[in-house]
Amino acid sequence: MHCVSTNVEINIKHKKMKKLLYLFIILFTLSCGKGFLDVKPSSNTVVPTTLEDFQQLLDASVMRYAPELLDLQADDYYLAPTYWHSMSNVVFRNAHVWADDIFETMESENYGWNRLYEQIFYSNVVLDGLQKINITLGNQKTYDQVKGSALFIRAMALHYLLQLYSPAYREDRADIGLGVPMPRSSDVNEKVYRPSVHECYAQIIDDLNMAKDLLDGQVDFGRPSKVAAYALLARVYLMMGKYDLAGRASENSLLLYDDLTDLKVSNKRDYKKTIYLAFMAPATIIGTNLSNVLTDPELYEMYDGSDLRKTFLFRLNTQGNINKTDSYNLSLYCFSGLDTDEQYLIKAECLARLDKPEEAMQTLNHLLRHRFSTYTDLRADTKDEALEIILQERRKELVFRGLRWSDLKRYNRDGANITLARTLGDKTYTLAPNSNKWLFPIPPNEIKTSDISQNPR
Amino acid sequence: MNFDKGGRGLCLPRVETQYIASLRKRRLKHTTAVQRGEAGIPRSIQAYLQIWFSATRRGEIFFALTAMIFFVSLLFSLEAQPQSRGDLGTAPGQTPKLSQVYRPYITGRVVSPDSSYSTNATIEIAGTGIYTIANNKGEFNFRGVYIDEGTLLMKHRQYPEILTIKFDTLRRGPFIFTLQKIKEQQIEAVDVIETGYFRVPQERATGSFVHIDQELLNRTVGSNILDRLAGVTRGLTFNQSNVGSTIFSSNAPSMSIRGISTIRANMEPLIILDNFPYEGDINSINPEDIESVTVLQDAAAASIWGARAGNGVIVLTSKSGKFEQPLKVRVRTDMSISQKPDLYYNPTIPMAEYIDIERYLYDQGAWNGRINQVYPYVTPTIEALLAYKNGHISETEMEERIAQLKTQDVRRDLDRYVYRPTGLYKAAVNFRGGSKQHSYYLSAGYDKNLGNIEGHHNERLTLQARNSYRMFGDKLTFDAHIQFASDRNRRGGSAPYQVLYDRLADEQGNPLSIGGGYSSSGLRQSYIDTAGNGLFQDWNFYPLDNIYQYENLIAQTSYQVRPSVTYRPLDWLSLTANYQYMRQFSETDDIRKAEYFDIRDIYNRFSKIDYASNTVAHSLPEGGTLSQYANGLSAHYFRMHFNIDRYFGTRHQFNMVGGMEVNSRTTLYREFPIMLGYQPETETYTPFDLTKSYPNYLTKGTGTMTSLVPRNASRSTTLNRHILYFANASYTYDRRYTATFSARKDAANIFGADINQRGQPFWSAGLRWQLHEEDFYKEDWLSKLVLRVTHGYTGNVSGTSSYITAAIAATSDIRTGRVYQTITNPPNPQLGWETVGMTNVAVDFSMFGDRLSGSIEHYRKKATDLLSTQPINPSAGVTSLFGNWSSLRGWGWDINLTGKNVQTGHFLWQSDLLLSYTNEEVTDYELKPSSDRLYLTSNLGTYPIEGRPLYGIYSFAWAGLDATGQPQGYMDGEISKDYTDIYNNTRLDDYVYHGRATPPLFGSIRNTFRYREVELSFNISAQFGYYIRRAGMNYGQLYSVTGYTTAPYQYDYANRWQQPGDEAHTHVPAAQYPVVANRETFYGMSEVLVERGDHVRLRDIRLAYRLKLPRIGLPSVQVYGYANNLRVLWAANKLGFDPEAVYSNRMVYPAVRTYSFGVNIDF
Repeated sequence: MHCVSTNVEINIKHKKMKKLLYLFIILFTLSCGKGFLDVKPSSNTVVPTTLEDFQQLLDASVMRYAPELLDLQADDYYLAPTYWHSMSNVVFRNAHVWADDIFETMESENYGWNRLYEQIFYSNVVLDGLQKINITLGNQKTYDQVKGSALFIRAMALHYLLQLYSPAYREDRADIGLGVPMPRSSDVNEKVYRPSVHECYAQIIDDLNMAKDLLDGQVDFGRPSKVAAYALLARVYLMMGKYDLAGRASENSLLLYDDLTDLKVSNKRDYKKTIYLAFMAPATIIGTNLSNVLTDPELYEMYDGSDLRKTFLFRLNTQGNINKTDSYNLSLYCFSGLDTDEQYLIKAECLARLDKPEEAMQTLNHLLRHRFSTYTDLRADTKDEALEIILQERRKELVFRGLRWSDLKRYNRDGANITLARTLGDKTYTLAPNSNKWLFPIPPNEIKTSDISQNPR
Repeated sequence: MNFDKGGRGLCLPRVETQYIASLRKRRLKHTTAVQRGEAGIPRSIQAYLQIWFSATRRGEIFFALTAMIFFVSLLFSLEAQPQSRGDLGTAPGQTPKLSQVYRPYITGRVVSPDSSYSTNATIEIAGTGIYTIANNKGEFNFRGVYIDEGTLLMKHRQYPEILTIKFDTLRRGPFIFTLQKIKEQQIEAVDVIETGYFRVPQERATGSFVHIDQELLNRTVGSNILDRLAGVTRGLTFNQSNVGSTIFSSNAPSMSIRGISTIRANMEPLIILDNFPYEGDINSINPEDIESVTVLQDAAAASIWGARAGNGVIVLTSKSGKFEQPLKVRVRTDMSISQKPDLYYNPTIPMAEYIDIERYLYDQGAWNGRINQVYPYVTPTIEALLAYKNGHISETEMEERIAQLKTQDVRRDLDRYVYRPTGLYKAAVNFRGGSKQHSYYLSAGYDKNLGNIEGHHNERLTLQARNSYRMFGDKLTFDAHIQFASDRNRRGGSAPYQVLYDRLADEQGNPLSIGGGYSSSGLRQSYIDTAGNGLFQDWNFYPLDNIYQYENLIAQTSYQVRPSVTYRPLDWLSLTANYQYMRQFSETDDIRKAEYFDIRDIYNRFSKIDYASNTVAHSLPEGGTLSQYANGLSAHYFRMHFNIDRYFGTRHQFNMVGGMEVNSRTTLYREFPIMLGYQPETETYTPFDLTKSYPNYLTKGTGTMTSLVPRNASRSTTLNRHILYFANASYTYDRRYTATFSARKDAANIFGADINQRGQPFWSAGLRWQLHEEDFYKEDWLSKLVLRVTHGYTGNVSGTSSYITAAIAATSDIRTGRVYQTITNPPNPQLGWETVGMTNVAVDFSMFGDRLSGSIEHYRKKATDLLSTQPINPSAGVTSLFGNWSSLRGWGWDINLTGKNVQTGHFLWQSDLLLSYTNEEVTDYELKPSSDRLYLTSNLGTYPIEGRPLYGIYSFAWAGLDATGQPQGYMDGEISKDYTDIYNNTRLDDYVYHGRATPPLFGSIRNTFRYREVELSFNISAQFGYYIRRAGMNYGQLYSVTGYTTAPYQYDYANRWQQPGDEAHTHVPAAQYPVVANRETFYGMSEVLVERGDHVRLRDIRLAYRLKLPRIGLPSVQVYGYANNLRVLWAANKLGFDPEAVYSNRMVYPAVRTYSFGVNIDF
């Protein structure tokens, strides 16, 4: 109660009354410090205000979830038909066969849209909160790390959202379609709209560029790092088709961290050695049994006998079906974070696309030397030759990583004309290259409450 | 009249100094006029008079003066000179006829019968500016008043009203102005309304206030001030938390003013004690210290309380001393006795029949599961059957035992050994008085309330001291007020029973055991009789001993210190600073003695017998347990305001109050770890690790003592801060028209930056038209007719913060091993106050010479921005948000009438009627339950439905019993017996909607008969237009082997369908074993169990006699008797139960009748 103190002199003559009155009123209105109301009303809750609080918010488990809808729609796996028929989650069931009506009577969808926006929300809470913290010499490093982490997480979530709900980026056309809402503050009342795909990518690049300058160089699989920011930049640039930038970013990331597990030594990649841990949870789809996740024999046959990835990624079950393995020590979850193998592949692809086949093959060969029991370096003389080999290896290396769907979108954008098809029971479903179904519909409750436009289907 | 045409022969006996004073004021002006006038005829009588006055010596002038005034006045009027500014004389344009001669002076007296006011009032002749001040005896007179007719205005600084008397040529006095003491004034008289910020006479109030005066407050005898408002306050309802089998949502208010204004926020009205919100325990206030209660009902009345007034405001005004008043002492003491509860009120299945049902269940094998477990409790009937089955007793012995059980009834023992009439004893004394500069009020009160079981009682001591000092010629007033209250509440154990035919005592009254426990986890009598080889503590449960083996003590102390200073630099301006510090703390000791059954039970359970040495090892230390809690509340309030109260001329009156307030309120809750092995005598305990596992005798394994929760020491605090600005202004023109305006702005620490900065003020405006004061108003039979219209806004708030809050996750992330936080409440900077807009239209009237008076009010309210949870766009990061989403509207009527039916010299028969109608409708609420079934099965108010009242009664449509006694409902319009389908899939639209669960129409009528010193009054109250759901036959409960305690209360069992044809006259389904659960649920929720709640009740009767004992120096002694909760006179339900104690499937009884007797002595 440091608030009010008035000294009213009693013996004021009537003439002075007016003055007194003014004094009275001024004291009333001005004497209260603003800080008086800035106290939290209850002790039993944490109002996050410190850097430690913010770091703990960014360490929340929910920040490392990636949307399983990506792989569910792609061609890395398909679900055992009996299991697919009995799936209780209609959104997942419909998404797997690119059904016309994904949501039926469902209003919302927790694993894609909601969860990714929750990550953006947490990041925004932190970014807003950081503005109230005074930067000192002592806390500068932590402050930068927390801020960089929040920017990174926001960019990561936004990039996943674009893969699901927006068309692939095209340098040459700004009118290809709508991006996704990009809340920039933690105010949940903020009105949202769908900006263009270009704006969204620009935002991601901005955030990541800022993050890479703020973040620490040391890799920590559980938290964003400078390496992670470069690695994600590389991935995003690649999807945008900006190969020189993508190549440079991947190079930067590899310069800082290039650990590769040699499958000759161990046939598991410990997630603790990756650049940044994120994972998709097919566990929510397939219960507790990986035997419902089946791989197309055609894909399986792409690996030759000395390719250790054949056992790193797959196993044959008793019925002769090809199942996914627990390659990253994440039990049922699929690793979908950032790892060095992806960076080698990006670097190689970009070099090839920039017409440096020799350097491209060098990079690829370094990776593949860790993948085969016996390996002789591959050679390519032309850009196209190199590219073909590299994309083939990309297909084989990055299975169950949540990347295939994005790759398919960019290949089709570049005219690859890939049609997806799957047969479940006696019915075959297809997804044509120019179909609207490459865009996932936005949950109806979002459309209803924020009135943004729905994707065509 | 002895007027001499020549103006001679008139003589005034003495000079009134006041008269001179009033003339002196004009001296200068008129002297100038005289100087100008010397050239000719003076232009005014005033001027002429001035010549005489200034030109003549004082001792002699007056004869001539007066004579000359008359003379000149006559001269002027005969010349018919219209006067433009005739300060004294005939009214402009009026010419008195010579025949209308009159005395030129007016006399009178100001009296204050009870010396409440000084008599130094100002008397003014309306429209002239001429005034005089009454002397110490109250006498006043005007001389030389040549005004044919006019109005005398009496103004008094302390008196809230200007009194008027008309004079004309014939009536010139002596007039009497009576300063009535406020509370004794009747309809025509003035009630002063206390808003907690300022006082306003009812005559100038536009808003809707209910004023409960001292006399009405004293009519009843309870210890709780709010209870005394019941039945005498219009628009106020007291609510129950559950009615029959209907339970209201947890935030349902205990009382509401003009219905509901919110859905999720606090619903209780705001209580103001003197100037500030009262946040403590209402039971700490002694009603004897309260002078009056004002209930602020509409926006104009309450908007000065802004963001906290949405549910209405109840202002309690403490008694205080009066300046210049001799010492007065009041002693009041009374004693009340309440009957024992009527345990037989709720019908039951006859004991013999119930025991037969138990035998039937036993034969069906229903008990096998329990029987086979060896030690769980079984009822005495089953014990007997089991003993026979196991060959311990013969069949005849078994039948004898069962026959004996059939004659027993636990209610007989409860009535004889447990319950007692409750008693309430109250004594209060207060002293008040004051000198010219000092007034005081001192009081002490003591209440003792004995509960209906021995060992349950509470005591309250209240002390109060209030002193006011006037200094510097009344310019400075200092007021210091200290209140203190101490409550001690003791609750002992209860006497639970297992089954209704239990026996609690033998013929000599010695306690009997009812087995090993009092719940379904109890132990079987035949087991505990033999368990433990005699090494255990007594494992029997004796309900009658249980009463004495437990105690819960709450000691609560509260005090308030309330200094204030008022500086009055000018007659019409005052500046006030108020401060209040309030503190309340309570400590709870929860003691279970070593002999308490729960302790003995745990002691025995966690034991290990070494059969070889025949010794036993106990885990629990010997002794009882002690649990302690502490609650604290402290609050600071500081307010500064100015108050303007000014007349401009005689017709314009302006009042204004404005200022700011800062307050801060902290609560602290603390809990201490339980003490085990507690010895009350030495206050020692034994440290013991409750988290560890100990050997369990029953399970032969190990386990933790789950019934002794290993409480950790914990504490939690809350801190609420507010800054607010307020202003209220009123302007009255000529007593006829009053306009009021009020505004307030709140800021609180629970809201984010946006709302505090945006600062949405709450405002109100009102108009009042005193129609009967108009010149054109000629209706003599309708002596008072006032129209009032107000509109404005109040607010409401919930404790939810707009700040982001997070919680630290219970476990670290499994992959990173890091501690992390998750957000539990998203930040919502736009979270704000709820807004309640209310329009009120009212007519006040008085007719037939005050024989009938009263008011009729109509209001409409619109509550918007109501807090609720609503789904929001998931792209915000959260899928639902607690925010200002919902709205509701309400409307209603309040009527009060007072009729003086018979009024003769010594006899008065007066009737006071209060009638209120209030209804509301949810207009916007979006969150829907996951299944429509929840509309039916959730607590009332959990899922508001748009277009309906907040609390509504719904049910399944009923299609009667079929020919086999099976209940039938509807599904998709067809008669159906698919109970699961009906239960799960009936849509909201297909439910039967009966109506409100709380009465929309309610009121009371109080009749008072007074003959000389005897007064008799009684109050009849009524509630109409609502529905209640009673508990119906539920075979699931009847046939449940663990439901034996409540099963006999299935009172509808006798009316069940038993044979074809019964379906014509009963709706109670046929008995069915095994039970179909959904059939029972469907029937329990069907429309046949919904009854109308309408009823009329004789609330209370009071008889009082005032003794006059002037000789022994006791001016007034009043003795009175009072009885309440008398009886229900009429109820709409067919079964004849009291709608406030609906027959239920458990023991219920209506509020007990209470008889009181008391004495009031005033010295």
